[in-house]
Amino acid sequence: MYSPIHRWIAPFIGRGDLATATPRHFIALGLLGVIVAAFILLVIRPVFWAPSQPAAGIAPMPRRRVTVVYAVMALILGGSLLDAVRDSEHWPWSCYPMYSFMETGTTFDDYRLYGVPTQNPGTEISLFTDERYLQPFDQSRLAEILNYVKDDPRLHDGLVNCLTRYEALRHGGRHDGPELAKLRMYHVFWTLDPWGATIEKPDRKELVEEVALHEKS
Amino acid sequence: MKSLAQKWDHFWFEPATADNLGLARILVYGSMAIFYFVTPYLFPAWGWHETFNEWGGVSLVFWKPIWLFRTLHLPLLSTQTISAMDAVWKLSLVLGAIGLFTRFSTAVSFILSIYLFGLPNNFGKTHHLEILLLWTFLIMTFSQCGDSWSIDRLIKTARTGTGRGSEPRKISGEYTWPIRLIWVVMAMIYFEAGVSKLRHSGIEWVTGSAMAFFLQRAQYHVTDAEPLANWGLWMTRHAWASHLLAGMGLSLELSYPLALFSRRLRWIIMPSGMLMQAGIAVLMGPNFYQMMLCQLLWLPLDKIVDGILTPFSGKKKYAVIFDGSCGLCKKTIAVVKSLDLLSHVEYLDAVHRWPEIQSRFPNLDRDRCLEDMHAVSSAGKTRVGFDAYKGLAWVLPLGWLTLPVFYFPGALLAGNRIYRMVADGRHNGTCALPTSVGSGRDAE
Repeated sequence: MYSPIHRWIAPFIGRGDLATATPRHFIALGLLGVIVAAFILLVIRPVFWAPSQPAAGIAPMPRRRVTVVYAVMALILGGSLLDAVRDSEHWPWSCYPMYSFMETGTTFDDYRLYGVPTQNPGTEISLFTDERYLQPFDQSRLAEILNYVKDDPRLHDGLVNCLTRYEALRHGGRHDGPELAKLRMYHVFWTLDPWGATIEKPDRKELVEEVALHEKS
Repeated sequence: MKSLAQKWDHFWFEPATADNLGLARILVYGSMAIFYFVTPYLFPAWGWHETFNEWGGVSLVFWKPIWLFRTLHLPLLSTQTISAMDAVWKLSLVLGAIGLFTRFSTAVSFILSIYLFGLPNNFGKTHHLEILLLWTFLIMTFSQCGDSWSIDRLIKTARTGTGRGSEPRKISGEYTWPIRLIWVVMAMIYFEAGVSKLRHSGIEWVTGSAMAFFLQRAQYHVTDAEPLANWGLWMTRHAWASHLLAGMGLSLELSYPLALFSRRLRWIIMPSGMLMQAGIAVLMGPNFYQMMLCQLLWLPLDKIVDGILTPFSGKKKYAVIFDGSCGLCKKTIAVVKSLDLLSHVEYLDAVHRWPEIQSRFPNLDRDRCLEDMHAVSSAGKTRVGFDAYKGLAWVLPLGWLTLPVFYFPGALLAGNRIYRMVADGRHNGTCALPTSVGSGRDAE
């Protein structure tokens, strides 16, 4: 259906989806290729070996060094350019998409962990209020990974690991949270409040999983 | 096109001394060594962000390898193994900072950084805080950043007798491209972030309510670090403020590459970049300490250091009289010259400049001067041999680091013996003393 050239170019455009590629994308990519090729031929090629030429008072760089330097440049910048064009992420190369997507509205939802204190089993505390509780996870990473694994059959084991680490950190004096008997994972829904009144008061919570201390993971 | 080609060549390979690059190495590796060593202990509330070993204890349920780890089949290592890697990595940072085994230590720091910086990204979300630092490590690895302001340089000076103040400074394009490449990577990161916003959200990213949403949501424990203040909520309630913030941020990101071409704009863009990073930490949480540090590489560090040293330099506090016909002595003097950043020492060759020495210091004896190094202070006090080094350590800024050694119990005795052994030993080698024509008077 598609030529090999199409298949090769496809991942570079339309977020890797060939179906979203339009002739405009191909033309843009072709133009970019022409510009890059012209730049290399007309600008870089004439001075490529210039640093290796002897000059008064200046130590010339051996040709091998010049090649290494350009290779390092190509590795770093080429990879970044590729990810920028592809709109993709290949850490440590990236298209740096942070905060790029239009998110609006007055509500949002997230996956969160809550603990049930041993001393007060009728209550729950949010484990996201103090980022030391579940280190080395930070809040954004933990919420993201919980979203990933919410349907994973091994979720229970993962949560037992979280609870065990919480207690180990507490015993090690790494945080001053209460002793926990249970840990619960919720899907939490908020209405954003411009005064911040709902930060600790979500609209609703839907229980996803619950684990108790001393359960085997 | 010819002019453009010349500008390209000039940008990357403008001839320069190794000083700026050497100082950049100290800044990057030194500050990062301190940062990663100190923060977990001094700031336990957030410093754990900068440790890696805890990841070894996280359940494999949460292990979602990123592209690099999948491709290289890098596994999640145990806590102990990561701790060991972390220790070696920190040691490599220290060695990189002082410039000892520079090529090796910078390479080790880069290779281990790939695993350590990449590790947390395998647990659900990729952060971009350390990418610039990682590339900086790679660039330093392939650069000749150990050619100046390094122990490697001192060792080379001690071996060859050539160094700062002893030979014309080496000028090469070799010392320019690394810093310029870091600039370009930095500009590219900001520019790509700006382009990504336009690509996904268009100008609505500024005119719409995206920024207000981000600022508001940041207060709901969603970021990798808590915002330092809740001022974002105020900006959310005042639409103009969030639009202004979004406009300024996007403009800065898109205009960042201009700093590569305009020295004047550099002075606006660089501080603005740092302010933006600080603003993000205050309003939204994520802190880009590593990127803020790398912004300092826009500064002409060599000129700044020169500017700081110049007012204190020039006043001669010691005159060192040495045997100019002795290879070992000349190498020693070359090392002392390298350490003499403030030009506080005057170097007098007892073989070739004896008449001048005699007229200035009539109490000195040439034979003794050829036998042992003499250091005469501006107050007229003469120190000989090991004691001369002790005196010099006080006036050489980099010599202060060695003062504890000089004042260690027993150091005087051991130092004098070692000095005597080395000084006498040189007569047996290629450094034969010239014929004695001294006056016969002892030093004070």
